[in-house]
Amino acid sequence: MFEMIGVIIKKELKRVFTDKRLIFTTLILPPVMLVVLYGIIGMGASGMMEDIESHTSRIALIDVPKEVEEAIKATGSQVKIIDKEDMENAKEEIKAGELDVMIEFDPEFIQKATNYTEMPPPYVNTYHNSSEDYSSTAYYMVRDILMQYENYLLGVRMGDESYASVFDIDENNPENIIVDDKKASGRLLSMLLPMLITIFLFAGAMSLGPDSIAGEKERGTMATLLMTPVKREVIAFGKVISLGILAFLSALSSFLGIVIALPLLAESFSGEMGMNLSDYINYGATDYMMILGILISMEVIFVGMISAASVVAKNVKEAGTYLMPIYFMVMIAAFSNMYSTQTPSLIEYAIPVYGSIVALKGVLSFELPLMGLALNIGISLMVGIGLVYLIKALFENENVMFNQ
Amino acid sequence: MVEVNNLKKVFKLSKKDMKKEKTKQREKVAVDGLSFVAEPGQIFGLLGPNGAGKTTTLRCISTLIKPSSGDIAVEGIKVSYDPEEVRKKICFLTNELKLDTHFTPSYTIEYFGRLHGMTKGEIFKRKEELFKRFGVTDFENMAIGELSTGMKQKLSIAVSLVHDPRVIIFDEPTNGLDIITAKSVTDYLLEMKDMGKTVIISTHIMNVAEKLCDKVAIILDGKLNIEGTPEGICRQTGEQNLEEAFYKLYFKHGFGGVENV
Repeated sequence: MFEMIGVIIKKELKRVFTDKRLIFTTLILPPVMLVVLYGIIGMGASGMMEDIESHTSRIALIDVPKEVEEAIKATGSQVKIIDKEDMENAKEEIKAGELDVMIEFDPEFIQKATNYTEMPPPYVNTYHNSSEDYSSTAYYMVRDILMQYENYLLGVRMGDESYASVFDIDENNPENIIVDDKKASGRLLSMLLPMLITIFLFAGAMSLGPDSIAGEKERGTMATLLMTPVKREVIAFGKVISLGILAFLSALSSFLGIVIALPLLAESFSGEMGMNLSDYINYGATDYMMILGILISMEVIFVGMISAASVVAKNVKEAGTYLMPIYFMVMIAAFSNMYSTQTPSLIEYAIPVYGSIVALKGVLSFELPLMGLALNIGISLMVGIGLVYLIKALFENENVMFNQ
Repeated sequence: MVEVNNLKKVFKLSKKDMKKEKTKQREKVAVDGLSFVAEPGQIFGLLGPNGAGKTTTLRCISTLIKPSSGDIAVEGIKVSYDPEEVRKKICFLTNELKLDTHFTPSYTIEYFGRLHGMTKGEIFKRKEELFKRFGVTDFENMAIGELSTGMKQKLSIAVSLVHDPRVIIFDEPTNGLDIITAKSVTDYLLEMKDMGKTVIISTHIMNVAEKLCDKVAIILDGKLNIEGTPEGICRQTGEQNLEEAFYKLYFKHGFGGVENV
């Protein structure tokens, strides 16, 4: 029996590996697409940031005190002093993106600020366009300057600038962020990777499964195979196992694509989102073994579902129709997990597919309980075995096998 | 030897099928109590119009589908008891059975040889023999998709015979073939008969049956109408040839209407 399963697996693998078109679409194209896509997104994002940084802010000032004007000029911004009557024009310019920020000071600002015991506080109005990146950036810069100016005036009132500062926040505290580096890098990965890998795994199997089974029925080559003295279950096992191997290779190549592509994407986000390749090395051999276990057990379900749908279908097109809703469900399971922050309850690991994604997330964020892992792999394998028996029964059913 | 005893095959009809068949019945009796024996060293022909149940009968013998009732024994082995063992003894050829066009003839015959449990040496010997016989040798390393229709058909025959079966079942052997390829196929069937193999063919072309078959069975509406040698059937019906005899039996069976046209 095993010898014959081997003969069928060998043929199925040969079918794919000697077909340049199939190699290209299932093994080469997905990772290349990922790298190119993420590269473009990364380049676009970093290009946008560089552009904002290199942009000279255009700021209009009305009755602005000399100190503030100087401070704004010191940032390299282009300053335009206008009259109150020109305000409406300036607002239009802001709306059109030709001007970034306008600051309007109370005409009696100095007077009111100095005689603060007798007069009401002066007003300062700022105008900016929140839909323009240049305008928003310039607005933050202006606000910083105004706050500094307020502090300076407070200091003047108190007789010494240093009196304006009541307390320092984290001035001499280098440890203000206490974080487990391992978990921090795992957080981003655990958000994205389970979703991506799950979808790639399913897509990989989906691109090959219908052709291997429904395609053979459609082309009449399945009947030739059924005329050999090999038992139906041997053919079923051979097909399912070879599809499993191919889908895994396809997912692996996509995974390599992610490994190359993610740093490209992350490079564009500086600071808290920053990431480099060394983050991946944080995972140990046990983690990788757990990931592999979860992936293989989840894949058994995927391959089982895809094979069963392909056996029932009369042709490749029909198989595709059956598989679309299943693909959709897998995507829902994958996405629903992406942003969850709560620690999952043990029962969640037992839900087929969804539980595998929860478990993958757990491994990547170093929070997977051993019981959850065992429960997930156990249930997935049980469902997988159930599906394989269903496929075997379908292969033995003449109404299904000869439903052309 | 193939013994078919009281074979009955009933298909359940889906709503779509019922509409297609223009019937309100949920079941269709494709073969109804058919019995015959095909002996070694003979070519046995199943004759009948389209939809008479010829292909269904051959599929039942070949273990592709299971009989609803009745028995079939191939070389003494019951198909319902050990279908794998039966498939070792037979080859079944029909236009519906195709080969993967991506592979070469050489790889394809090796693959099917392996699935028949043959050793590499046995496969190699048989491949040489069959490819030479059917003129495939020159094309054995080309992709099947690049071969002509006739060559593909010859290759299908060669591949199905890789395990040197005792029983050869051929559904509509000359259908869709050009005259030269058809001749090489019928010649081969005669050769197989001379080698003492049991050959069963189905056809609705009476000339083919008359020339090839030692014994024929005419099936109408899933039931055996008459069985005997082509000469015997002509004698019994008082007709000159099998084609005339067939028409006579066909109209007598109650498929009238057309007779008066």
